[in-house]
Amino acid sequence: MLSDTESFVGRYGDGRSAASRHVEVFVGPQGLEIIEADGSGRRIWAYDALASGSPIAKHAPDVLVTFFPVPDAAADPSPTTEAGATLFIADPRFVAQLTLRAPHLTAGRSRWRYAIPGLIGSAAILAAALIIWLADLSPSRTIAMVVPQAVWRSTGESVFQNLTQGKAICATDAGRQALDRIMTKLSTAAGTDAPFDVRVIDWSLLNAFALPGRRIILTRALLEAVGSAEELAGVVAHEMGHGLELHPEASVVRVLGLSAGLKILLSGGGDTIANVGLLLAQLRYTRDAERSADAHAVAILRRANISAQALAMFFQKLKNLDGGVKSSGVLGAEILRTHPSIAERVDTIAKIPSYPTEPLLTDAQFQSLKGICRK
Amino acid sequence: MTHSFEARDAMSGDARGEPVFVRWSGSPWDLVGLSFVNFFLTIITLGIYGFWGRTEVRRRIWSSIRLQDEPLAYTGTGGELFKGFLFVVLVVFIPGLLILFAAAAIFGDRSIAYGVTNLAVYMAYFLLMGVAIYRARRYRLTRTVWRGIRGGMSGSPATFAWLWIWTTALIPVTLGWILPWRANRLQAHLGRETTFGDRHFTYAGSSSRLYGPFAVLWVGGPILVAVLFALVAIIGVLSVDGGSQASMKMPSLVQVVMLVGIFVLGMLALSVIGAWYRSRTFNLFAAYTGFDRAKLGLRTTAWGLIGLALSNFLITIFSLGILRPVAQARAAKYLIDRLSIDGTVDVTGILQSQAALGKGGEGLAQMFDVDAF
Repeated sequence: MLSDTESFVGRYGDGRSAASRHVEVFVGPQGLEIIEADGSGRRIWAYDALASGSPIAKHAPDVLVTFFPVPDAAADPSPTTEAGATLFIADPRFVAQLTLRAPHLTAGRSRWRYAIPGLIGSAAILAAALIIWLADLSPSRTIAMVVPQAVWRSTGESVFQNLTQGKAICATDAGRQALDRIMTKLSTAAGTDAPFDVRVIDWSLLNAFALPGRRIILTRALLEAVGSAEELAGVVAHEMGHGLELHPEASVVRVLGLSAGLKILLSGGGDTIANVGLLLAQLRYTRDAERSADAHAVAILRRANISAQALAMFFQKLKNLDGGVKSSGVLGAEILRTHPSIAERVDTIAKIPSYPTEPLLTDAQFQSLKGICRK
Repeated sequence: MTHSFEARDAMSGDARGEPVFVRWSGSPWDLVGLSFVNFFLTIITLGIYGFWGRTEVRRRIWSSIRLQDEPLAYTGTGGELFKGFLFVVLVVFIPGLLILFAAAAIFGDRSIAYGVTNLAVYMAYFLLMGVAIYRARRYRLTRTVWRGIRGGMSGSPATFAWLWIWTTALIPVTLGWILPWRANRLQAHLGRETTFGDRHFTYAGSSSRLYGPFAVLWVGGPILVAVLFALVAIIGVLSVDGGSQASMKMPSLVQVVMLVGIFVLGMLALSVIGAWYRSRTFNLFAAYTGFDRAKLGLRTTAWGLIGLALSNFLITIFSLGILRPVAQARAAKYLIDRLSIDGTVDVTGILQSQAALGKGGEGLAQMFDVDAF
């Protein structure tokens, strides 16, 4: 029976000591047939009980196989075999014959065996993401709602530090009083239990930000650009809308989730939390988020008897500035100028039926607010 | 068909021991195909396959290392790495984050209590570093098999972690002068607890021969930096306008080239001194390590280590990290090519270890980036 098969020389280790001895090996029909050098013992290793030292690559010059018989060895034709015994054969022809009989030892097979569960897992994740998107669920907002306000306040503080990088906070007494006056009116109108903390930063970038923990940042350039207290109130109300909808908080959750995912993708390494602030600053809200912030703004302004048309005017002003204002710094994409299109936003506000309004600040108060950054 | 294996068996079957030859088989560039396959599968499985990919790389690297012309085998699995990673994320990382969030929520982020909690969490992570180093080494050794016999570590991670902690705490106190002594002490601890089958490795040596290169590094490093700063300052002064305004001019092209040149030369000099120290450390630690009646011998050189680091850096960068497995194999080959086992080992007398295998992967080490290969 063995005469028509080729014989190979291999080194056999019994798995109990580090001794090894030469044996003669045949690639038989039932398994590897192993004959001792003196012709004494003969054992057969079934192919499905074999593991290879490393997955067999194409054109591998040699192979190490280890024998792991199934625990129920009653049917094992050879009583002398031992679990963990090894056989090393340095002959490419043997490797080629073995891979025909035991294809599970090849690199290709073993890769797909492990990749398929991963593929199923990633398909499941993608499917879940698709469902979340199609059903318009917002897991990040749900998580943001569960996390206590105190956590968001401290997160907001660190994002603030990260964002402003030690720029001065503007707070002349008269300017602060005027700003507080606007805030009192807006907060009452918004009917919120937790007040918003508004800060003006001495920054030449024209922008306004809503940060986690109900914090709003206005820049000096923004104050210089507004033509009336009502325009400013409109911008602040818009940012309050983001805050009420937990948009900044949901962004933090999303960034943390994404970076945790990235960490898994890169199998560890990298600093997760440190750069959240910077990432957050570069995030833009979606079209829908901007629309809902606008809707909040209009509702708040209306209850506060402040003209919403001023916000529309300010949008118009920004549109005219659009070509002229150069993006600056990492925050080049100014939040106020992004989607939805300004024309659409102006249009929406213009359609609001008029309601009684009352003046917000005296001219003197407005001027001291505009000069809040003056020393 | 006849074979002349009787004669060779008689030679290796000597009861008093036999010389052991170690060599590297194949080329590190054989891993190029595997590198690309791993990259592709890792991407399409959203990273999950990475653990199995890394395992296959290790199996290939281990099998290239030959003792008596027979390969080492790596028997670890991707599943173990993956479970270890999940364990660390769920049991170490996320609880730590939750504790910090909770402390911020309860005490406020500017309270002393929050600061103390913060410190405690980072201290706990720091304490786990030593455990991570030990566990990673034990995991790899128990998964390293030659002729069916596996390696291992006989001690406990806690004992090593304690040694690691107090010697680390002394680094700033001693202005770094404990470092060579500490490295030798840690290596001795790990070396003596390393096993192959039922035998222990031995480690006998002191750090005295490391202090020469260390002193050069300690003194030379700062001097080099100072000289660099001085040169930069001189060039800076030269670029100041000599006129009444004493205003700065833009540096000329020649000056820029000089500055860059000085920087590159300085970094090169620093890395040569650093590599000299590292090479000396590697070689000495190997020479102090023994097994049975043999001692290890390692002949790395400073220039060799620099060339290896530089070429591996370029390979990794220019392949966008895809060819990292090739770089890892090159590093392993560099060491194996320069490693010898001098003396004899009673190979046939080594029996399988009866120690339990342990299931944990090396999640902790991965987490803390102490993963060498």
